[in-house]
Amino acid sequence: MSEVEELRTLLEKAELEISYLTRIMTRMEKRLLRQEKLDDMNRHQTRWAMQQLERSRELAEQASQAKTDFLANMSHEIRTPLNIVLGMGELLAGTELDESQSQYLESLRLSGEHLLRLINDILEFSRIESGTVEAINSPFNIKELLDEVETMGTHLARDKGIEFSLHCDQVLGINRIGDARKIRQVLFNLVGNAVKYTDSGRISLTVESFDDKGEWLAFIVSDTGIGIPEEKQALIFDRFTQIEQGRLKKPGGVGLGLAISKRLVVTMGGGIKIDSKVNKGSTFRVELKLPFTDKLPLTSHPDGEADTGEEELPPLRVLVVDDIYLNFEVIKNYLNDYPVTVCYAENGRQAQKAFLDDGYDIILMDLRMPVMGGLEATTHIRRLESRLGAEPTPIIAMTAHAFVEQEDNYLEKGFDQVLIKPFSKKDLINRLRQYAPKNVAGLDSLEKQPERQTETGVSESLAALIPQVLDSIAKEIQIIKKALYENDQETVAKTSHAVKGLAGFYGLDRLSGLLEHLEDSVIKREFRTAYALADALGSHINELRRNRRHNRADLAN
Amino acid sequence: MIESVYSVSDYLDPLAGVCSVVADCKEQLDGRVPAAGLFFTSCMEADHAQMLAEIHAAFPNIELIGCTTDGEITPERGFTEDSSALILLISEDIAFAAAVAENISKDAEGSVADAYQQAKTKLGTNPSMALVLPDGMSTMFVPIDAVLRSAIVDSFPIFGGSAGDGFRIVKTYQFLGNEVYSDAMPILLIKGDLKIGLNIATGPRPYGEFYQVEKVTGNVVYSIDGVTALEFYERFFGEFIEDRELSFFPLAVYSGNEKDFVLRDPVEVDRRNGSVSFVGRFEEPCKVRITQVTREETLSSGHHGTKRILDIFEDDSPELIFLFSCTSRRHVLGSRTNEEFKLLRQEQQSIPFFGFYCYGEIGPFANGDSVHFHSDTCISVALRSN
Repeated sequence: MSEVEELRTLLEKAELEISYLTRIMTRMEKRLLRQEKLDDMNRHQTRWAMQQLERSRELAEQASQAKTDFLANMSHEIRTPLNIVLGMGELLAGTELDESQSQYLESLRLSGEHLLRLINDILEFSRIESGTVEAINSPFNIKELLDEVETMGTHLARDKGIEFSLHCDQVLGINRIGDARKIRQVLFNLVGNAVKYTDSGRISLTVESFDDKGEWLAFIVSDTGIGIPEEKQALIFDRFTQIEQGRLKKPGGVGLGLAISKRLVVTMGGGIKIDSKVNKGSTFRVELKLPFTDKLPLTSHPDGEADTGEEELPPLRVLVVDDIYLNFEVIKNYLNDYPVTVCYAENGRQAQKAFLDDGYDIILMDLRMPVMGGLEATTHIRRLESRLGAEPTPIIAMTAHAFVEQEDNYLEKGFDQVLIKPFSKKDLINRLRQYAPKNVAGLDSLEKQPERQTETGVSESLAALIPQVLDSIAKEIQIIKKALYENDQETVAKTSHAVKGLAGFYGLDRLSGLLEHLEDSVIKREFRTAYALADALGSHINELRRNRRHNRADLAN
Repeated sequence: MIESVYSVSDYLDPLAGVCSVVADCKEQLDGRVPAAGLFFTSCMEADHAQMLAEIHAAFPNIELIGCTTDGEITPERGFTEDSSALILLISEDIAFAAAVAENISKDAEGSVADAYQQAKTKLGTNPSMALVLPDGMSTMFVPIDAVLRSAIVDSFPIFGGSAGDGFRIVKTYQFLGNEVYSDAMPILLIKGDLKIGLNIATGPRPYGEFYQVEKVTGNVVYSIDGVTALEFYERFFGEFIEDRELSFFPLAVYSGNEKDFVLRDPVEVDRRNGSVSFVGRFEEPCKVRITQVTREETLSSGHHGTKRILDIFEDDSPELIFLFSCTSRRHVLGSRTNEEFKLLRQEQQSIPFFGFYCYGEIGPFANGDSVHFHSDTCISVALRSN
């Protein structure tokens, strides 16, 4: 073979190789191009799917909201006839009934009340789901809060013959910042649940800090109840969760209590966990950041000091306007040893008349009263003074509303000062001194000896009235409970408001606190908490009356 | 026992490639006499008759069937295109008989019945199984599974794949002996005491809403969910550059309940009326869902399919595996196509496997079921003589 032929053969071979490689390259190029197109189409498809997903989510949320609204509306509508059923039952109970009829009626009442609670749970949850609930943080005293939970837990546990204990040494008496109302609601739910699902043994609430600064607190509610199977534990915080033969299937729940609690805890920036074993018990652990504060909480005792009785007053004529006579008794008692003439008016209209007829140096005016409230009466009095060209009479508002913005509002409406109920003797004297006419101040003042006080800081003369006050409050609590079951929120709020001041005057702080929170719960439509508080109130007032009787018996012996 | 020899070539000159394949097979036979053969080629421009003549000259007595494809599958090279592949089967206790059904787009049932009878007569007994290679253009609208069910009265498993044409979607060819056909279906009946393992791997996953198919004629869909079929596709995939890419996104078709579905690949768009032609007919009434196609899902299904089929044979390895894989799988996998056979190629090198990328797969959902026509699947048929 010549060189030329050899070269030609090599060339042909090389051409073949090149053609072969070119074909492979062309195929690869096509493959690559196809892959890119496929990726483009896949991306387009993914984008479309994401849009669909978003749209589906919106639709699902709308549907969920519509269902929640429907539930809320239905629940609200059902409540009205149900309240009539319960009310009729109440009336029927007052008639002559034989034993069987009484039993039937009792069953009717219990079932009705149960149904009412379920409906209230749904309403409560709907409110939270609507997203309008936010954490409102302010200084609060954690001891006071835990005292209330203890009162409620003890009462519920005692009814079932089980123990309730509170362990919280490290945090007692410390002011912290948080949403006390929501914390209370969560703890009421958890303790209430624990009692419901525990037939023997004990329930405990332990509060402990678990970080270096001591800001994070764990509220641990443990019971020795029926427990929750492990596979169901992840579900129990879902709304309407029902676990057969489990915790939430027991009478008294539609599975909303824990769902509500979880949402509240999350709203407060905390977490809730469960540890449970079937037939051994459950432990719920709520973790919340509650920083310390030097600021005092807005309490019913702004000064926080005991009455010293060492203040001086000039001779004065004071008109006390309050629909609760026992409140007047308190004030009168406070001023017993001072040269003060204390007169009484039951409502705003009587106050107007007394002002015109007799004239006073200072008027102490309650705000919420039947016939005519304090605000309206003050407006009338100011108008009269203006028309007559008289000097304005100092009018001091007496209210249990402890919010600063409300205080400012009262001052704008014509009041000179605000006294937060229940106020101490020192508060009262200070206020009276502040507004006593200058020409008489100090002229005939008398120096008073400190009055003897009881352990609760209430003067002995007031303490003598306590049995009467307790009886009176017990009756009011009955009214509150009846109104609560009848869905008469206005009466519950008004009565709680009035009675809490009275209780505070007589040193019944825990009672006063429970009433304050009951009023708050009803105003905020937290009915689950309201019912628990009403029960706790009933239990607590009975306990106070029992103790009082025992003390008297002891003294007699 | 079934023994086999095989070879593949992607020479630039297809005829030279076939000659090389034949020579290679002869060498591997080492004196053994093959009884049957399958020949697949994706060389669409080649002289197929000449190719067959070369094979026939070398092995004049074998029962040979074959077809054009969209790529060959062999252990040696995995996936190849512009190539030709031949497998020869040798067995003393397995019998083979081949025939062809012609004009399947006109009289599929009669033609298939005749071909079956012809092959069966040659076999002299009822077969244990059959392989079929129908024209992929015809099976787009001919319900070949229904035809097979009614034309072949005897009960035995039927497997196969529709012939391809290198993804041109123009014309495919089928082979019997040294004859080249179109619009035909070669059939190879196999008789013997065989253990047959089957797996059907799929990839596309339906998702999202169900949409009502409003107007459909056979395999041509005109409107879905109030819009033309084309607008329906554009809604999800945008305005695609070439219709061809559409075929990688099949529709899941639900004609009974909302659980069981078949996949249908779109192959042709008529932009004048917005209709889309699919591979395979639509039963009416029906609903459809779009599908998501990913390389991961496709590879994963193939991998698990191979494992499953090997598990069927437990300690005894299959003697031969036929693979009929949908052409859309290899286009979706792109440069990762060979990963589909990774397990077979790397870990089970001793098991011969042979197949091609087709325009529709044929086989029962499980052994004992009747035959069905599938899209976007990879059907693996493993054989071992008992």
